[in-house]
Amino acid sequence: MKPLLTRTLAHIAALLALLALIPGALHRGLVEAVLMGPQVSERLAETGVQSKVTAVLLDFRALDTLLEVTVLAAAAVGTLALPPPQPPARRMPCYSLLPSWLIPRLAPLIFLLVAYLWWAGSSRPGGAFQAGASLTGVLLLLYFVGRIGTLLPRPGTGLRLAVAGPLLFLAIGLLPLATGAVFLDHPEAWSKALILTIEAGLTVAIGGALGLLATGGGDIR
Amino acid sequence: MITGQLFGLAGLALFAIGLHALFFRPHLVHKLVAANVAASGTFLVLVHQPLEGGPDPVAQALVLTGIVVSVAVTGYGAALAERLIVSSGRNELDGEDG
Repeated sequence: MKPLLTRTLAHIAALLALLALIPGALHRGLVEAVLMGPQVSERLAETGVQSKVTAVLLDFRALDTLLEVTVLAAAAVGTLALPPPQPPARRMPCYSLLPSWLIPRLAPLIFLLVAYLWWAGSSRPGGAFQAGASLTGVLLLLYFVGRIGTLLPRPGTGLRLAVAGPLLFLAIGLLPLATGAVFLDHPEAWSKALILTIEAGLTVAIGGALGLLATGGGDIR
Repeated sequence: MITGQLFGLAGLALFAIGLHALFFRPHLVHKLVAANVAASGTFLVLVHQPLEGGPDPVAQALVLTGIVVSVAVTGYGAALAERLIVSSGRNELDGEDG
């Protein structure tokens, strides 16, 4: 078959598939059938946190979140398994005075924001993912204006953090087994403290893993 | 309701555009961007239905998980593409008509 014909047929098939998807994207009942908002509201009190999203992430569907940070750690390990990237010919200088003056002065505030996002996750929008992403963001800013020589303080920090986060999560998840409860089922009285501990661990783990990915594994060598 | 459906259709359009580019753009970095566009479309479809008191918390959690996974994929994919481009001087994979 000629390449052009193959492409045209592929386009037509893709268009048909797309048209078939439209009712799915618009049909409300279909979405509601899979989602469980009301059930989450009913049992929110058992989790010790007030934010529904955090309750889903770290209590009802904690296994998903555990696997997700494991994926992030796997990406970090995979990136480090590649041969080291080409170092840049020379460091890009920061010509503008404003960022190099402003960013170091804003950085403490952003670190405060990271801590706030971590704490806020228990009662309102926020949590480990937002906090971890902001942590990587402020480190990148400081790195770009030359305030810190490498993104992460020591070789291997990113990898250690990225792996330590899921391990902490796993360890806390295994604890309930000793009392006869189910894996990842935090005891109700301790739930909020445990969730905040896990979120703190995940914040630095996500910060480290994203930092490592942002530099393509080149920073730590 | 109409606004919700608009978001759903926009998500579907993003998904289609991203998927098309993922298949037909040979450049590896284009493919990475395309995969992210398609993923964003999927997320929009998942959270577009506003229920009482905001989008469904389970959908939000799913999307948050999806975003982190797509960041991990993008980071690792970019590292792979960088090594390939540097070592082979080519920015495409070997293909029939690539």
